[in-house]
Amino acid sequence: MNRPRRPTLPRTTPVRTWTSLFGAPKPPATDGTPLPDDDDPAALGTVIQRSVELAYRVVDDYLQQGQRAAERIAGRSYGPDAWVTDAQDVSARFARYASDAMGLWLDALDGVRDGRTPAPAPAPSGAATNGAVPPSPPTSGSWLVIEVQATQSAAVTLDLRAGVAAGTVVVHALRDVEVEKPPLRDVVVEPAVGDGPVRVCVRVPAGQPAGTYHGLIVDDETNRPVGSVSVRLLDA
Amino acid sequence: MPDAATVAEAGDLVTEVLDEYGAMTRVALTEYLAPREPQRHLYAIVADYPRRGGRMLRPSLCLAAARAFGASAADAVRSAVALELLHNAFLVHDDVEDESDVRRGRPTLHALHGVDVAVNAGDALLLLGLRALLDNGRTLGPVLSMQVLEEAERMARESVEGQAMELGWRRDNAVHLAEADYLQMILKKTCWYTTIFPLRVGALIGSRGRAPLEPLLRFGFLLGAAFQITDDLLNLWGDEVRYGKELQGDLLEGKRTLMLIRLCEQATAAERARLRAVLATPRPARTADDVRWMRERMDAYDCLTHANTVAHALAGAARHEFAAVFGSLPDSRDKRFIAALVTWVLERR
Repeated sequence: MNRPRRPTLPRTTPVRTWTSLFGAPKPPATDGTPLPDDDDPAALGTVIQRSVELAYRVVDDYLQQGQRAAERIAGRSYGPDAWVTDAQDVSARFARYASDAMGLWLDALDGVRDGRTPAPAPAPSGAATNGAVPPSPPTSGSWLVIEVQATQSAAVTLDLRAGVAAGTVVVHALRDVEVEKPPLRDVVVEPAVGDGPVRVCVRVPAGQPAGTYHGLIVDDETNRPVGSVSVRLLDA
Repeated sequence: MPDAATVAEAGDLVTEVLDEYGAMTRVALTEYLAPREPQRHLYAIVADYPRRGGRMLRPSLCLAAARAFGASAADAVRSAVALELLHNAFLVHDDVEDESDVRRGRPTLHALHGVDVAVNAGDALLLLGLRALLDNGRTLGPVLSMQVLEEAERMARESVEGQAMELGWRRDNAVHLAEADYLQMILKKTCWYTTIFPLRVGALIGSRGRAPLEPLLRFGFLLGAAFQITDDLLNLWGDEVRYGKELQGDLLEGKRTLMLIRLCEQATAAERARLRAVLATPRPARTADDVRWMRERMDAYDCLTHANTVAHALAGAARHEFAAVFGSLPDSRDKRFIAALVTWVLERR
């Protein structure tokens, strides 16, 4: 008796291609040359996972901002907690302005060194919360790994000039605008080696007061500032 | 995983609903765009963009969400009209800010009448949108119409904040942006008024204010982000007649799209320096060679393919969130339409 059999397929594993998931064609190249193959499952999977994680992080951060605003408005506007939070926000904003001003200053230094007019400050180039890996590097063509050891919520912001060589930078102690708070001293920035990541390691001692700590990254040889790093700590 | 037949079916459903709800919205719009004085220098110009057509995605989404949550279309049509009027007001002002020349296949309002007249017409469109929202009180009652008004105020605020971010990047010639910056910007600038607001207002009206709105923000953001990235891609490889805007116009404007941000990340130091110089050039002085070079570099670094992959990934996440928001609602054509939009935003040409 002849039983119907499935034809033998050329493939041996499932074909899962995200770019054709909804039938979307690849974009045509303008010069007529074929695009490089983007069907490398590992690379594609990384892009997809990173994109989705990033999108959720953006929308979750946004929702948390709204939640905090709503909590303050909904009856807690005049309580002591709100004042503390507001004070922390003001402190964080102050530190951010300082960071922005430093970015401008670094650009101005670059401009003076290159003999051109200082360019406007770039947007903050890398930020992560609680050790999360941000999607995009502060230095082009590389990526960023942030390791945070802390018993409380921490957000790390890094601004590092492009092209800084590995093993050549030191981080000054990170200080809060309230000078009586102890500085954060255990912060290490390792510029990228080859295609490797920029690494930022932050260790926050137990009992560190909440606040926004800000410090310079300088070139060890020339003592020239090459960036800044900020750590915002919330109450444990 | 949808096959070709499912994709085609979804496309047909979206087209059918957009046509139906678009026509319904246009009829209701006539009340607000009726000729009156001063006709020549205001109301004729005010009615120009809304009468040029457009897909009517936003009002259709609002009507579909309202109906999926149990309302009649009549309950939501004034909100849909308000949305379309506000959308057109933003377009008028955006075209001035972006120095765009073409909108929906014809010269922009400021190109036809001058910046002063166009900005004034944009202001009038905003006020007409506000009028439509106030008229909601007649059908929805004071409490629900006030909730809708508050949503509209928030949507408008988010949109101008997002626009400020984008304009600021161009003003400061920012080239160190990350994808997260881009997503934050489009969350505010595009997603709020394209998808989040229509969904939330529709759900508010359909549930008489009882539906939880937060999940709609998540779904709306993911859907809207996939929509915007695809829209930016269409500017680079689309059909100009169907797209309705000038192709490569985003490159001429120096718009910080995901592809441009990717190019800034991937470019060599020398290329980035040239890119910075090109982007610092005022738009009228930017040459076809500049645009060609940027586009050629985008192809060399696979920036379009990357953005396309991100759009698909976010659409996949939107599909996941759809189940969380609409899973408990009974099956309906409106619910299927909203589900089909996830595929459609990627497929439209």
